[in-house]
Amino acid sequence: MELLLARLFDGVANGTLYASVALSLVLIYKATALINFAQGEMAMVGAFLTYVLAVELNLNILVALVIAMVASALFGVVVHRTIISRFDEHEHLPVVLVTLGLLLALNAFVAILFGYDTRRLPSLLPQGSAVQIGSANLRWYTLGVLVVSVGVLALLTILLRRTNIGLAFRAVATNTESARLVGIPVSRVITLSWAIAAAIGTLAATLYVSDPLRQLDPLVMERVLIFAAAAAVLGGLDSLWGSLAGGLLLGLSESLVTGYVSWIPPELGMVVALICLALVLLWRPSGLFGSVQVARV
Amino acid sequence: MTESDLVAPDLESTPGSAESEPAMLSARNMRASYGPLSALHGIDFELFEGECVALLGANGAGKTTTLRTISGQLVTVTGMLNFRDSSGIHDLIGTTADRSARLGIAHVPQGRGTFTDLSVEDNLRVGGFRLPPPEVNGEMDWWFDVFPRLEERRRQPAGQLSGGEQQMLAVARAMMMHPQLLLLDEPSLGLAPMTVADLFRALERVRAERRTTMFIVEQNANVALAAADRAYVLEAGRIVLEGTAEDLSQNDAVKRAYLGQ
Repeated sequence: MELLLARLFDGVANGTLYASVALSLVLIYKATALINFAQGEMAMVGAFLTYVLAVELNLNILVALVIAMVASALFGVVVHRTIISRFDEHEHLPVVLVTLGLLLALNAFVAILFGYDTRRLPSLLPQGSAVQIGSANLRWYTLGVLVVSVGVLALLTILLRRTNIGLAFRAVATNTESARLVGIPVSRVITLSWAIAAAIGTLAATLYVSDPLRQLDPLVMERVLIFAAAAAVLGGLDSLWGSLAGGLLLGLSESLVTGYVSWIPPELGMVVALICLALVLLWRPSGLFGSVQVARV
Repeated sequence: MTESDLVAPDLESTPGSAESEPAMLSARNMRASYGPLSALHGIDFELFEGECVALLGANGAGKTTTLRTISGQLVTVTGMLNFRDSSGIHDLIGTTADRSARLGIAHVPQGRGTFTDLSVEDNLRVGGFRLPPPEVNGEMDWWFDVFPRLEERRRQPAGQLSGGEQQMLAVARAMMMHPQLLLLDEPSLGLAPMTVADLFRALERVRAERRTTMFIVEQNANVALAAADRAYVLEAGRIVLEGTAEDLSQNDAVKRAYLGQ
């Protein structure tokens, strides 16, 4: 029982982080039907920026995080304006390759500057256990990450449902040509989604490495990105709340399967999670919450 | 009779001679192409404020391309194409879709282009994106009065509407922009005759109450000529006939080719 709880808590902690990165993938996917494979590395750069500000320049960790999120948003704008928007929006493959190139470039850039040594970031959230049941403990960190992830989702939902900018975003996501015809500055709306996605990514990556049990290095987000992409697909790729469900499901299946099935070593956790993903997609091809096209023609 | 009666030009019958009132939209020797594929081979046309003009022609004659040149969509255009409003004359050669929209040109594309995932209400709000926010609700109510069926379905996703309802929504959404010029591409396509009649009655009302200038592309020449003041006939990228709607509906060639008589 205690072990079960411990594994559930672990799964939730990982799952919500996958979900946060998945959310930034979904945001850009909704606007442009493009998966930004550099999202994880952009977030990793953001986490390094938080590290430099908080550890090397001794700023308060929260202040450092906010500055890093703003800087990441600006970086997202620059990437979209100077690179992505130059490509034909109807041809996805070239842009996907460009984001893969960006992934490698950012990774190399950080490795040159910082090397592959691991670094510690001060925890953003209170340490210790919130709930202790026998040997299973629900850490404040896990709870905090959950609250922050749900909070970000709620804010984004309000932004999309209740504001004019959100309306413009949904219009672009549904029909780009028609959005242009009513005078919506489509390119600026997409740039904005890159900015928001980059800021959310940096928040997620910083939370991830500020876990006292983890450390920061240039490779830390590669694994997370694969899980996040899987979580996004599982949730339906165009559903914000679906990304949370997808992330939790993957995090839980990873921790439960490797925990209970003794012949599966923890190293195979990712493979197990991806097999779960494949099974769900066989049953529901457009993901758990993805919109199935219902339009009459 | 006063002097003004003598000089006031009759816009509907003699647009070309209306020197006192320059055209809102005028094209001279306008050519358009998609890459190497030429679609318009030098056409001239004019639209005057408050007019409803039809553009007739068979499939592939260049009707949709003509509208696309005006709303700035994916065509290479050369020649002259000017749009005139109270702030002056704007060159539309090489315009972009959002610039044309900001100038007051609304385009209802073929296939309607509604935002299928968005509710009827949100579709209208997107149309009113550039209106001052306090005006949006009042404007929406006006359209619910014109198209009561849209009000019944205001919370439903547009993708669930029937073809006729989607066309009504597309027109209302475009008109939410308060355009000077409304471009309609085959509004009757795929609709039942009753629905077509409803739609054109609503367009009549819009013209009467808002004086919006309209440029209607149609294959259904009967409907278009009944609604329009004037018309042009396009054939293989060239304008082969023009005149008042009345004259054209009596024209033997038009009768044979487009009116099914």
